[in-house]
Amino acid sequence: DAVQTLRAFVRDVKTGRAEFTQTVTSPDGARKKTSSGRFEFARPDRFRFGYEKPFQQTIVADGQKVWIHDPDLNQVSSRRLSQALGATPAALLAGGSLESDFVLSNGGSLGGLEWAQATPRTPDGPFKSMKVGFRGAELAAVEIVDSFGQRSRLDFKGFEAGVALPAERFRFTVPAGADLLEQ
Amino acid sequence: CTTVPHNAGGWVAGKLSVEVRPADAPLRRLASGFELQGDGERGELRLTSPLGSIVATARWAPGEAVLTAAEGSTRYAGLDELSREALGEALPLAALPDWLAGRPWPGAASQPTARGFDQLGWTIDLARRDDGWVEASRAAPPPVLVRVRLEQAPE
Repeated sequence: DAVQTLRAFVRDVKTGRAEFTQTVTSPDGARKKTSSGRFEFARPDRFRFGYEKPFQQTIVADGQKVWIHDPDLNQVSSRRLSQALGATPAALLAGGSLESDFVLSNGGSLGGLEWAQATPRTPDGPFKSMKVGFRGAELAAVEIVDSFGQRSRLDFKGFEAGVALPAERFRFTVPAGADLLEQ
Repeated sequence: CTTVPHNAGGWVAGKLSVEVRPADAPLRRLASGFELQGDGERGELRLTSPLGSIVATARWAPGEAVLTAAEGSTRYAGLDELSREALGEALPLAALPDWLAGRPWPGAASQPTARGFDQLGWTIDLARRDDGWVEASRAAPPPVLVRVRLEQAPE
């Protein structure tokens, strides 16, 4: 079932990349916002979310820190990875401590995908629940519900597992003139 | 140019940066995605994370100002106190919906300026609002600069 697929995914897929479309639905379900970009990761502690639309925004975890670059505001914020990762969507997909961060259970099949439910072990954190959807063994989607009931779904396209990703994909240098916020 | 939606169901969304420059302390800065609805009487500001989840909500109504985060809710006497907690500085949240819509808040006097207007001790710069930018700055110490980039209507 999908829990086994998720365990195998975390165990065997050391690197991966895909395009994603993200749909965020407000808690009352009345408003939806979509964005899109590229996701890359190298387990256990490096990943990159490169948003293109509607805004450009880059989130890079380089193994020590998570950097968030907002070119519009010309700002970079950084925080220690240990603070940022924990039971988060990035940890679920790209992390190395699946079982210690999450309780796994079968999420059934829906929309042509097999789902694994991942409930964060730390109670009353920012995320209420997460589900990972697979098409066969291929990562296809993630759905996250935060503690306010806002739902965020990432649909992945063209997932490539085990690709050689150059190290600088997971490095970040603060652009000249950008304001840096260290949190 | 694309028009910026004022009331897509009453909500305005985008990204904001709050920069406080105390004379005798290090500069403080906060940046966040946001969604805002409401007016001087009643409203809600949602602060969102880069990945799109809600980090905190500030809700105000007559006699009530509540800040809610994952760990729980805290009640405040007034909006200034709530704003200081949520955004690191007392921003006139009641006036913000009108300011982002490009007009003075009806609840207080204002003076037009070349690039926008002055109100409540703040200078509102609307010169680049067609590109989605609204800036509010306060001269009174500690000086504060709030920069807002509104989400464009999808082309």
